[in-house]
Amino acid sequence: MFKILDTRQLASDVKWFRIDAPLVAKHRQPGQFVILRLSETGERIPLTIAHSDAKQGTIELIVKAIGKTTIMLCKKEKGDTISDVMGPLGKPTEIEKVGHAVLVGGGVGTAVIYPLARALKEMGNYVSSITGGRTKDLVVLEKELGDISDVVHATTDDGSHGFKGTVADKLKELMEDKERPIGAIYCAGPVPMMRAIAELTRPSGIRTIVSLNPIMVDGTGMCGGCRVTVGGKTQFACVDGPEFDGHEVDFAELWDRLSAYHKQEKIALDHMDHECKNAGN
Amino acid sequence: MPLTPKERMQIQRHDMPEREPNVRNRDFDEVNIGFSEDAAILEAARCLQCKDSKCVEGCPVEIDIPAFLKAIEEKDLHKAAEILLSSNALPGITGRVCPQEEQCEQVCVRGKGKGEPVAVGHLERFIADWARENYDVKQIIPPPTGYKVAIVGSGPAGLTAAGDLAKMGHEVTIFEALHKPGGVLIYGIPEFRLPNKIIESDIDRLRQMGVKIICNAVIGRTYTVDELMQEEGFHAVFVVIGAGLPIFMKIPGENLKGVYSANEYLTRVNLMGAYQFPECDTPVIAGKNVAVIGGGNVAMDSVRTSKRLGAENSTLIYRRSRVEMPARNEEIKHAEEEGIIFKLLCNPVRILGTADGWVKGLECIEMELGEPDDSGRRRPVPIKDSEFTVDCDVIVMALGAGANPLLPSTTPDLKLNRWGYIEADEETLMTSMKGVFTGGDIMRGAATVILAMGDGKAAARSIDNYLKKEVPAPSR
Ligand SMILES: Cc1cc2nc3c(=O)[nH]c(=O)nc-3n(C[C@H](O)[C@H](O)[C@H](O)COP(=O)(O)OP(=O)(O)OC[C@H]3O[C@@H](n4cnc5c(N)ncnc54)[C@H](O)[C@@H]3O)c2cc1C
Ligand SMILES: Cc1cc2nc3c(=O)[nH]c(=O)nc-3n(C[C@H](O)[C@H](O)[C@H](O)COP(=O)(O)OP(=O)(O)OC[C@H]3O[C@@H](n4cnc5c(N)ncnc54)[C@H](O)[C@@H]3O)c2cc1C
Ligand code: SF4
Ligand code: SF4
Ligand code: FES
Repeated sequence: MFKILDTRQLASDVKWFRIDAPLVAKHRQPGQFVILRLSETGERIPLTIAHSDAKQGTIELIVKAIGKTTIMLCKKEKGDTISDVMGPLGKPTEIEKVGHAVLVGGGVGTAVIYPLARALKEMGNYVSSITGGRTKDLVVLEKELGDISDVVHATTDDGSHGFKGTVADKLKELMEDKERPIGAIYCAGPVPMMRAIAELTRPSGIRTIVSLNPIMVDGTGMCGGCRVTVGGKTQFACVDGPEFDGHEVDFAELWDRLSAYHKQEKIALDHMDHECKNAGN
Repeated sequence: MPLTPKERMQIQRHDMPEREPNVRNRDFDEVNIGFSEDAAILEAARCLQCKDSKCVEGCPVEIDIPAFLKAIEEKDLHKAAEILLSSNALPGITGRVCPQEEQCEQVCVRGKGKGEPVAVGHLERFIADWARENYDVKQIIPPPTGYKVAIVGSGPAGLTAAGDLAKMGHEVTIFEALHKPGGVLIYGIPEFRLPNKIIESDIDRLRQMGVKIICNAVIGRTYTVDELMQEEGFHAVFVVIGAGLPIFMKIPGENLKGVYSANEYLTRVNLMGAYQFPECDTPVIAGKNVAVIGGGNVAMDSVRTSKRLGAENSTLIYRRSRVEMPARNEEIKHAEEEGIIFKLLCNPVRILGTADGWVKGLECIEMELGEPDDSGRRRPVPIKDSEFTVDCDVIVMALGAGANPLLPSTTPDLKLNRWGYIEADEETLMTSMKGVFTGGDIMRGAATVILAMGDGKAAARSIDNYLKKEVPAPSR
């Protein structure tokens, strides 16, 4: 059992957690994730480790409630427990001196780029972060990214907050700034967004690293469920990634594979509502 | 009055009572029911108590088979359990999944010519199940030696070594990557063949002996092997991580939705309980028409699972003929009874998909058997222009497993063979790293439960030797 030490609501559907997980905290490096399971009947889901403290033995997670497991997790409070937290998993990000690093996050992906922004900044890079959403309420971690980046840009499709347009539109602007050429771009978010960013930077060849989010089960390279095609080759995102060269990724395939369980995900949600009603709340 | 040999020879072998095929293929309860006590006693009486008992040599963990059969015949089940458990820590498991027909039973003298061997495996299962209810193992644990041994992986190799090392007084910690211990026994082999409660009770027995099990610990990530020895104070490490790497065919269409590796398919169903979805959260795609590719135990388990998940047609596709199938006879027989369709002598060439990315069929080519290959089996060769399509919406690849590189890639001093399996001294099972031992599937390539257990036993002995000879006694 892993104990939740602290929580904070970051947006209506995004929650921050600090969890007691000394073995994970000890070796964790930026870019790595955990797989957790809430209970005996729960699913195993991957979540990026936003921050860790080896001395305290704690890790931090930022979770967006989008389906049964993440909704149930976001209902948990300080003092509650999680059955299993396994990790750290995945290859750590190669944190290098690139000069100007641009971090692009959309939705849940913002949680993934947050630790990278921090590590890239600590490495001495100039860090610009872009966090976007369709509308004001969907822009997350703007303040948190602001605290660790040199500059943060919020974007909304409808212009209700910050820059009006997509994160790709904002990135295009930054790319045009000849004063501050971009050394590398780190991007995480919905697949169409990552694809748009990769297409945008392809002509210039700016290094574009994307963090992929296929469906996972074990996280150790045992099941092959997380397979993605990169540079024409099958790779297992949980051990070979989750970060890959965005210009090589077959996004169409990834996008399609993510829809494999849509029917079951809906059933799971209905079942959860049913369970809650039966429990009288 | 003991029976005369002649009387013994007249007793017929007892069949394992089984549940009705058309009932059992709709649920995940165990297929085999097990012997009644009367049947067990009579079956045990078939044993001729050979002086030069061949059956014992056929058993990789050298169970004193005649002695435990004699105890059953004499209705001393307690004694039978004692004998069995003294050389086999997991009899409930081996009694169910051991390929007995190729081991102890193959060499039993009663099986010579037209005869049928004594049903050693079924009797082992009988005693193990009896012992679970009625027998308290009073393990006499010697005073602690102060030596600490880490075991990486909780499959049959790791569990067996853990039990033996604990009995020698060493402090044992098992590190397991998944959230539940048991290895393939828990995530791979289905409930209907090996119920999880059997494995759990064997593992509880180890815990009672003081074995510590740390789950969710991926060695190579959570700790490296070097750290276990240098920082965590373990004097020896037994690396038994199994052959956990799925093999795909590299044919077009493999990443379509509805294509699974057997590892993923079975893990979703067995470890995660997807057959109970939505009571359990993990889903699995239950196809109407399921094609499983392969001919081993893994393929049989997958195809029988698909039937139980409700498939109308569950088809097994194998490139050789029935006699070359590596699966156990019992599994093939059970699959046939349960209505599995066998398409033999054909090989998949590509997977066909719908416009929205789902599997819709499997194109195969017919094969014929040519000259024998390296394995001694006749090599299947494609027949020109014989392509045909099997309609299906789920495909499971059960083509065997390779060596998972996660741990080796973070342990540079560990010498591997050219297929990525860990090399070890044949006798001591010590790897190229001092104090690091290995065995089971990560040394042999995908093998069997009982061979993994045999390695676990041998390694425990060898680790004990190594500690006493080479490692200064820890101050306590
Ligand atoms: C390496 C990695 C890091 C991630 N980091 C974070 C993070 O820091 N914060 C965060 O909020 N989310 C993160 N995710 C996504 C998170 O794992 C999914 O949101 C979660 O699994 C959804 O589960 P659910 O039961 O709540 O929703 P479901 O109803 O099961 O699924 C909703 C959608 O999420 C996707 N999904 C479903 N199951 C999985 C799965 N096992 N793995 C990945 N995606 C899945 C599918 O596209 C699905 O349509 C990460 C994913 C990966 C692969
Ligand atoms: C579906 C299926 C059916 C089978 N049926 C039979 C049968 O009927 N009869 C038979 O005799 N054999 C059968 N086998 C083969 C048999 O199960 C294996 O030979 C045996 O389990 C090997 O044991 P092991 O201890 O070497 O490894 P495994 O059982 O594979 O266990 C290895 C364990 O190590 C863990 N691990 C891996 N990497 C790490 C790491 N880095 N850190 C920590 N832990 C790690 C894994 O999660 C796993 O729990 C079957 C196999 C499968 C897949
Ligand atoms: S462990 Fe296997 S080989 Fe040994 S006696 Fe039992 S069934 Fe036979
Ligand atoms: S070989 Fe057969 S008959 Fe002889 S002792 Fe062994 S089980 Fe009994
Ligand atoms: S999640 Fe199973 S191989 Fe990556």
